[in-house]
Amino acid sequence: MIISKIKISNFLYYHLHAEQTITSAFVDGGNIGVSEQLINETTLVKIINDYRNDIEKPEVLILNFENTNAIQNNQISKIIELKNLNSNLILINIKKELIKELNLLSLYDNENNVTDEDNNYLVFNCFETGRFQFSHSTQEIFRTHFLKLLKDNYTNPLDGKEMYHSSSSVYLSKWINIKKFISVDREFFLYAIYNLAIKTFQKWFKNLNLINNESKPILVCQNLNSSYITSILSTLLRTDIVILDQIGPINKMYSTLDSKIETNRKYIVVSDLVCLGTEIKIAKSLIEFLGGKYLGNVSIVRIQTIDPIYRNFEDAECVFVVDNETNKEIVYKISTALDI
Amino acid sequence: MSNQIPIIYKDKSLTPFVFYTEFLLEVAQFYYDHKNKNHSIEFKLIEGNDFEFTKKRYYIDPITLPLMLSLFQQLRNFHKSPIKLHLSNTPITIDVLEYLYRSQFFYITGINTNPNFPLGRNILDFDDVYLGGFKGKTIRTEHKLRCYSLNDDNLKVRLSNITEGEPAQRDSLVEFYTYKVKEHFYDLLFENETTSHLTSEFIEILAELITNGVLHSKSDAFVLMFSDKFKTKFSISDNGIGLYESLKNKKDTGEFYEKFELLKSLSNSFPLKIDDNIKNSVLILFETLYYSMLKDRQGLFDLMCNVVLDCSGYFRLHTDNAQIIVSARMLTELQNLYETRIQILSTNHSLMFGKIKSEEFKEKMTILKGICKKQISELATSIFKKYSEDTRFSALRIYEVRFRGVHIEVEIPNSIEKL
Repeated sequence: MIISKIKISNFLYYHLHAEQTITSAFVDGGNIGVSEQLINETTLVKIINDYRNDIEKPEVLILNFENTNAIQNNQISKIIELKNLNSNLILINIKKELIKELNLLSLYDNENNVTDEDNNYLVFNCFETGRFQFSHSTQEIFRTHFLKLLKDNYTNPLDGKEMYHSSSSVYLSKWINIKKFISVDREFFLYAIYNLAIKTFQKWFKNLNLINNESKPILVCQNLNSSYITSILSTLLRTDIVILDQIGPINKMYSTLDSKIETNRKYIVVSDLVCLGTEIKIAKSLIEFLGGKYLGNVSIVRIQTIDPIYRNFEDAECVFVVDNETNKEIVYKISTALDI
Repeated sequence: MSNQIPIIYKDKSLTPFVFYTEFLLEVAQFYYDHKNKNHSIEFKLIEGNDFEFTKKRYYIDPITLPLMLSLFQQLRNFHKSPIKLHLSNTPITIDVLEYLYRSQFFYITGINTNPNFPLGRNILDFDDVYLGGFKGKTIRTEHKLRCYSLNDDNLKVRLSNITEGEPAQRDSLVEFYTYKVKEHFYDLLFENETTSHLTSEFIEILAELITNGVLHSKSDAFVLMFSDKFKTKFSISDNGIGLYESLKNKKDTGEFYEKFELLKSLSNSFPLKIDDNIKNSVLILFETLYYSMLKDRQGLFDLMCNVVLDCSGYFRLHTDNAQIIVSARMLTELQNLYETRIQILSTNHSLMFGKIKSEEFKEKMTILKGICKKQISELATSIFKKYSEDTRFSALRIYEVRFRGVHIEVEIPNSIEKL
């Protein structure tokens, strides 16, 4: 299974760290989640096989090394194999140590290579001359593809009928179908969860003592989509989960609730999509009422209904924001009875 | 003379050095004394008897444990029955006994079949009534002894499914062990802030060493990783066929390397007056490094450079009678060798990427091989010269008693300044 394969016009991207994380989390036993930094043979073999079996051959093959800092010894042969399959091979976001370890600089010192302030390579061309115009930002690549999928397949217009949103007392013009996204584009959705895991890790886990499980925040899920996301997220972050079932549109709470939230532990609420944040607020109140500490919420999509000038989204993390800019393509509208 | 050999002496830490120079000597002496008699060897945990409640202290350096196990396993295979070990549980020995117990020493050497603990290899015969009444000190999980073997985890099947030859098998095993290492040593690797940037290096080094241990030696490998405030140490020990046989058995050694060519040329000019077998065990160390340098794949030599040049550590390689200690002391020589090595690798890569033709490749490689041979010979000669001047400060150590297998110790300081 390849999760990070993205085709944008003539460019085909693979993100090695995402593939490695999935391999180690679900294929082999010793999972260390997103703190994985070393690329193994299996990951490279998977990519080679996937590329071989792909019928459409893109003009340029791009390997994204973001978040990795080492590669298993003797794997240069795999890079060579990829180079033989596509002579326009480009490595992006690769550390200078890795280029040194792979001995590539003496072979391809292309003057169009792009480096950052630490001399790590944002773009390393595995050919002598020439260049291609493309984006090397992992975020940008991901968002471009996510937006395309969302626009083309997963926003269903409600045929002029405004949909009444049960928990927030508003009407919605469109339905963003995350459930369909999860089942149809399963692999890419995993990549979205992987990206969310990276962001969550950077924000709340980075400075923790990772061995002490007590210090790690617990993930809270509250409906079916969110529990799917949470279960994978918790594997990638090596942390616990707690299920607060159905706080969503249909308010239903269990009497055993207080035994689920531990006093003074930290909690992060996970959702598939945050629209006006009502469900998050309910979960937050519950957690705080029972003595837990609410850190923030993470979601795949966030509808930014308020300009960041008025509300900083410091406690919120997501991989895709529907804001003024992106909404020009999606055309999502929230209205009330006063507008109609 | 009693046939019980004490393992730990009072007020004297059992370190790898003591192990090689004194303990092995005693074991050898035993077999010399009992040449014609049918005595089987026995060990006791400490020198002295249980009634001496004086202020004695017993210490053991954890990284000696893999060596001990390796030796016991050899003796066990020789006698074809578990070796008797007499334990002692008194106020003065309880700490060391507890340490051994918690490091899982007794699970590995005993007959444990409980899957929650390492599988017993039936190496030692001891009375487990002694194992109890501990103070309840907790040992960090990652300081436990580990035993790796091709007989475990269905690895033989995994390897037999790979038909592309030994390099491919090796890659697959290295990958398998990177996961194992992460699982077994996770806490140790991720706990220490000063070493966190080296995590990947440690994982790679350990996985490579374990793979070398089980794949080439065709035996079990015993591993211990130990870390304190100042340094992280690994010790890996196998009791397999050793470097000489392993090299001899190699089928494909590449077109530029001729088996034992360096050994033969060094042998003629060898300045020390020692027994031929011992001499060979010294020379094979250099031969192995030479072979590893000429290869088109990364191996032992690169690993060593990684430890010494990138991590400012120590790399100690022991086989049979000889041990070489590679450290920053021979920095200049090593850096020169490393540069040559890089050139060899990149010449190979140029060929693989199709950037140079095979004639040009051969031409370049022949030149590089000459340089490489010259540099290693020079290094060896200078080490021999220093050894004959002062054995104490030499990078080479020669031991009287032959200890079968390959034994590697790696020591890496936690606060590293890049060289």
